[in-house]
Amino acid sequence: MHRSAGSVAQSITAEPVAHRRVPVRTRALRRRAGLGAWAALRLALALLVALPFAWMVLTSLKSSHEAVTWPPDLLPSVWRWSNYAEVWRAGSFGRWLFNSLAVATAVAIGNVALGGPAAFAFARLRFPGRNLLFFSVLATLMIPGELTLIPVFFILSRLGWINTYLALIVPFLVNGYSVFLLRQFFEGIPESITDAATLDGAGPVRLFWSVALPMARPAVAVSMFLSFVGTWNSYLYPLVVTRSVQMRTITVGLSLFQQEYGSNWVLLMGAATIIAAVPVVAFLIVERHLTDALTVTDQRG
Amino acid sequence: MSLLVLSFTDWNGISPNVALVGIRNYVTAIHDPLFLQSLVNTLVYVGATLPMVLVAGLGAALLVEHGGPLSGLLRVAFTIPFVVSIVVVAVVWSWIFDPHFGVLNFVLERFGVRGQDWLDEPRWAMLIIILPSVWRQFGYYMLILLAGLKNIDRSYREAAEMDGARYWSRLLRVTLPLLGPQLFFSLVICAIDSFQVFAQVDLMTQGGPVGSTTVAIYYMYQQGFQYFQMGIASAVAVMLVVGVGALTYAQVRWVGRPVYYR
Repeated sequence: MHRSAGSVAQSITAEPVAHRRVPVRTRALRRRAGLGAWAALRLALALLVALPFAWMVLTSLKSSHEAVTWPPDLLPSVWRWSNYAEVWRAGSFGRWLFNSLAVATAVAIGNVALGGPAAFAFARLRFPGRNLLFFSVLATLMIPGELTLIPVFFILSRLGWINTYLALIVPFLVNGYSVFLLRQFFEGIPESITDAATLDGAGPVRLFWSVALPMARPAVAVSMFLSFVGTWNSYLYPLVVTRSVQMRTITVGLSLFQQEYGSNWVLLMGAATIIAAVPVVAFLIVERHLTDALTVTDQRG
Repeated sequence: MSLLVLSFTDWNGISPNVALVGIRNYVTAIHDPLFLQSLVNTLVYVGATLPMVLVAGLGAALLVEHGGPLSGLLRVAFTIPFVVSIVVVAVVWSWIFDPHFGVLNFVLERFGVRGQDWLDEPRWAMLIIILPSVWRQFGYYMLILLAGLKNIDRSYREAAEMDGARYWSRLLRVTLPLLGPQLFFSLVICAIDSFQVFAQVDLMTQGGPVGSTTVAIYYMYQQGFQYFQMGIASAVAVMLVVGVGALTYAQVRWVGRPVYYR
């Protein structure tokens, strides 16, 4: 957008000169060729970044013999979709997948169900100590997560929660980032709307549930996405708080696969593809909201 | 706080009995050469990752924001590595770097360069940990910087363009200074994040070869959850909290102030 506005300004001054030298058709052609090269360069960059994923998927569809031929073939001779059935049967893959889906879904819902009202209260209600409380929520964002691992582990083991779903879910039900994100969005809702609803007799609960939450749909989607994907992708935490094979999450499961089937790259890449696909699909759904949400959060500067 | 208390005890992570042992855990950690090496390794990792991620993120943001064909595709393609688990990233790159059948060695040999047993060479292992990290993360910082670029009042840059400023001088004199807050935010977050590197090490090298990729969190994990020395692990964590806190403070002090109060 900036560019088009700029080039208009440029062409106003440049046009008459260029007109005399180069015939119109050549100029259009040259511009189209430049655009083509530019597009090709961009496409190449996108492909370069996507290359490791492409190699992952291609390997997952080869035969185990084919994966380790030298020199390697780019494409599988036969596309073996049945490899994925084998991944499913290996280890406790199905159980791990279920664990991760259940835990990440619970965390995502918790972040909106618990973080949402908190965010709304911070944005629209007046109560003593509000600013202090909100700053303490923000302060939790600055504490590196991995470094709270040991105290959290200590508390969980005192509660007897180690190796349970509670340990995987409860500490993440509320997250400072979600509260912050939702609060910023609630603050942006015009006062006139909430005032009108209050005049119509809506209390704070009704106001939150029927007015603010529906309006904040993009922020809700983004905060659910971030908490879901964060939980789905986490590794050190579930590695530490689960013990039995049955309670592992999918990422820990992949590392167990790596130890167990270290050289079976077809199986490993198949599992990796499935684990990668879930957050990528979620990302493509919320993608258009993501930049907006980040624009909102960055007013903290 | 409980972290601080735990660092003065001999808790083994399981037993209900916990006794105070004073500063013994700190002394033990500081006298372990592997701990000192893990600090150096972490600094190397952070020192290399940080500029690479920020430069790549900034470059990507400018490229996408510049407009033109395929901008949307580029933005999505650059962001996708970030939404994928670091565990997946580590396993996929282990396959790419595999000494026998890895595609990297194949490509290198095509160009007449001898392949390496990348992850088994102390010289290379750290670099091989860093590359996938940069690849995974830069898209996130691109998004933050893109959001910042959108916020910049268009008239500033258009005024500079009207004045005949070239692209590079516009970038250096107008765009980047106005992007200061977002660059600073990225610097702080990326630094805190990089200090916590763990999964790549656990999955790709297990801290080896000969400790060359043992980073601080990996050392903490080993002490606490493999050798059941929670006291030592807590002491290490306390020292890291202090270190990261000091670094963040220094960044706010020396980098942040000039950015915000020019």
